[in-house]
Amino acid sequence: MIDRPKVIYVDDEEINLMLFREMFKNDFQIHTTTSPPDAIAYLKANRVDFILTDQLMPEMTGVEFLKELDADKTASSSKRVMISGYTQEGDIKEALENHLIDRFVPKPFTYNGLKEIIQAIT
Amino acid sequence: MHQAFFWLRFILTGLLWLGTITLSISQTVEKEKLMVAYIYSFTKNIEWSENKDVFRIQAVTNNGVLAKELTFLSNSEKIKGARIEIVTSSSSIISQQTDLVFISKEFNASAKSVFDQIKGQDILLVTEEFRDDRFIMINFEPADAQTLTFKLNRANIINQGLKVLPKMILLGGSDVDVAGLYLQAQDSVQELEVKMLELQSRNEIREKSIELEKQKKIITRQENEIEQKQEIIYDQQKSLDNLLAKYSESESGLKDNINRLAISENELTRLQNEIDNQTTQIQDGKLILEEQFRLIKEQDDLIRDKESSLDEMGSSLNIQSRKILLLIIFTIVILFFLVLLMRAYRIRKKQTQQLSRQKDELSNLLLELREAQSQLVQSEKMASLGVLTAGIAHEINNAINFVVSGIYVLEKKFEAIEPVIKKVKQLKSEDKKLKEKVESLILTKEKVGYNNIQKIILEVVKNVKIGAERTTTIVKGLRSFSRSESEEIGKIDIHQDIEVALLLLQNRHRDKIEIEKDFNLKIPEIDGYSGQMGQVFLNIIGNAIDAFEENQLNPMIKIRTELNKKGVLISIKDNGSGIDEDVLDKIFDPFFTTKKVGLGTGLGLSITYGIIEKHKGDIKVKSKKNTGTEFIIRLPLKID
Repeated sequence: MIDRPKVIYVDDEEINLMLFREMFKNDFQIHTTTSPPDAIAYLKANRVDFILTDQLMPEMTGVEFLKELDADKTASSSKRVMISGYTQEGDIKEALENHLIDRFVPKPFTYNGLKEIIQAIT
Repeated sequence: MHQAFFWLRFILTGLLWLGTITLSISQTVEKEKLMVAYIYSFTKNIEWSENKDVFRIQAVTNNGVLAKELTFLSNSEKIKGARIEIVTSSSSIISQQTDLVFISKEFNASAKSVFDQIKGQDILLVTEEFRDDRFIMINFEPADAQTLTFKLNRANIINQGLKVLPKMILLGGSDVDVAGLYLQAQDSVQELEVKMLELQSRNEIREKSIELEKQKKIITRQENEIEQKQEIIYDQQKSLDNLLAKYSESESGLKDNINRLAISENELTRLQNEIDNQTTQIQDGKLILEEQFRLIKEQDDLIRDKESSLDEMGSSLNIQSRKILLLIIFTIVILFFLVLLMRAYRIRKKQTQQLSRQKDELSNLLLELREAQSQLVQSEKMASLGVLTAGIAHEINNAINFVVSGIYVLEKKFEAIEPVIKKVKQLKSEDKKLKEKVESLILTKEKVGYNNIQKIILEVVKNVKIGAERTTTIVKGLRSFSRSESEEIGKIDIHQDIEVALLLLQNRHRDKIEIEKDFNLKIPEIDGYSGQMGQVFLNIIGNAIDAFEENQLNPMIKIRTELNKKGVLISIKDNGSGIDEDVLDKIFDPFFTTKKVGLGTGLGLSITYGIIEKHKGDIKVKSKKNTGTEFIIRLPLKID
């Protein structure tokens, strides 16, 4: 149990979080939240291996959330994956080029697809 | 004055010492020899204040014999062991080392000054025939050639610090007469009084002269004033003289004028006479003229007769020529108007042709415009959809994710409970080991966590349903919204159109802005062009969402529908930042936007206005800065 990588998943849709927990509960130690500020607070206190985040959220976009982490050098060693139904290619490309994110996973995602991607960056 | 009193006092004290000594000289020696002998004797009978090596005698004298005798004495004798030194001079300046001074009578004038000079020093003064006893010490009295007497003023000698020895009496001579001395003193006092009076009067004179000086000054000042006044008088005199000169000048001028007047009077008289003469001549001429006038008049009458006959002929001619002129003008005017009419007709014809051409062009343009307008509406619709695309796609993808992930989870959960299902399938009612099997089943259920999985399955199924419904609604909304413009009037449900707009804008307002819906559900479907009203609500609600600042407190959009006699009223009200008053009347203008470049087309409200107009309704806006904006749309139930 101790060997499972730690993951935080941020998405404003509670349904996504619930389904993610059910899908990956045997693969990761999972912490989920709908609020980016809560996630920042959690990351200041806890080390995680992966940060998974949605892009379009009411309080703060995924990019804004990751930039705020960078500003404080919080969780700088964690790998970052954006999981979003947001399809503005330009924004995602820019985020990838600036190394703000390591991977982009479009919604809807599959269990195998997401798992492969996460494993690829480990 | 002081000096005088001093001497008076001195003399009075001296009186006590006075005695009378007379000495008669019986020897037949020369006077000078005798005098020198006496002088020698005097020195012997005076007690000098100190012992001397040299005894100096200064003789102020012109008497050569006496000087010779003195020199002889000095060569032969000594005074109390001291050598005698003789100085002869004609000056009354006495050297300091002198012990005895002799002044012969020719120098008596300076005797008093010598007395004053040596006073108080131990010098003895011997004088010859000096008359003022007050200033003598030892004086040889006037006498004949054979006798010589001397007078002694002891007080003066004692004053010099010298002492007269008693043996001096043996030499003869007399002391100064005290009474005489007193009288002398009185005389000098009187003299002094006289001098005093003189001085007093001199003082008075000085005062008087000072006063005189003052008065002189006053007089000088007055004289100056008088001088000034005299100058003024002189000036006035001068100007008076000038005036007088001018007066006499003008007087002479006057005289000249009078003379000229007289001359001209004469001339006048002469002229008068001449005029009289000419008047008579004129009168004569007048008579002749009158005669001529009469003749002319007669001739005039003749001429007039002839003229009148001529006039008659002329007037008939005149009337005829005027008539002809009028005719010509009339013809010209008519011709001119005809030309004008022709031209106007031609122009009008041209204009009519042009007008019908323009009309055709205009109707073509109008058609084009309508086409362009509908294209514009469609384009704007697509543009606003484009702005929404990312958000809508996100919504759809999320919803699909519920389904996809949910199905995966369901699959896994069913796999997990499969042993339970298997065991359930194996259960048969006639089974003898039913109880055992049921117990095994219960064990398996517990082992796989059946109850928990069942709960999860129910929840996931619910979520999958949500995902599927959301996808359906969005697609339905998109379809109704993006339907291309229909030219035919159909029936529209405004509530459905509002819902579609809210759905399409969902990701922009969900969890951020409270949407309050107050719908009157009695509102029927109204006449309208399908797909257009959704665009109206999308634009207005979209703007309302954009009107909220980041830090807006309790952002809220109230959407209210009303049914009244005139039709339907839709109010969309926000509590956002409001519209600036100076741009409020521009918001329906095409291409007017307050949004940043790329964020708005500037056509939304312009097209909204067009759509409402097309539905025979109206749209109004109320806005207050920092309070909010309300759009009120009125639509009739039927479009005629």
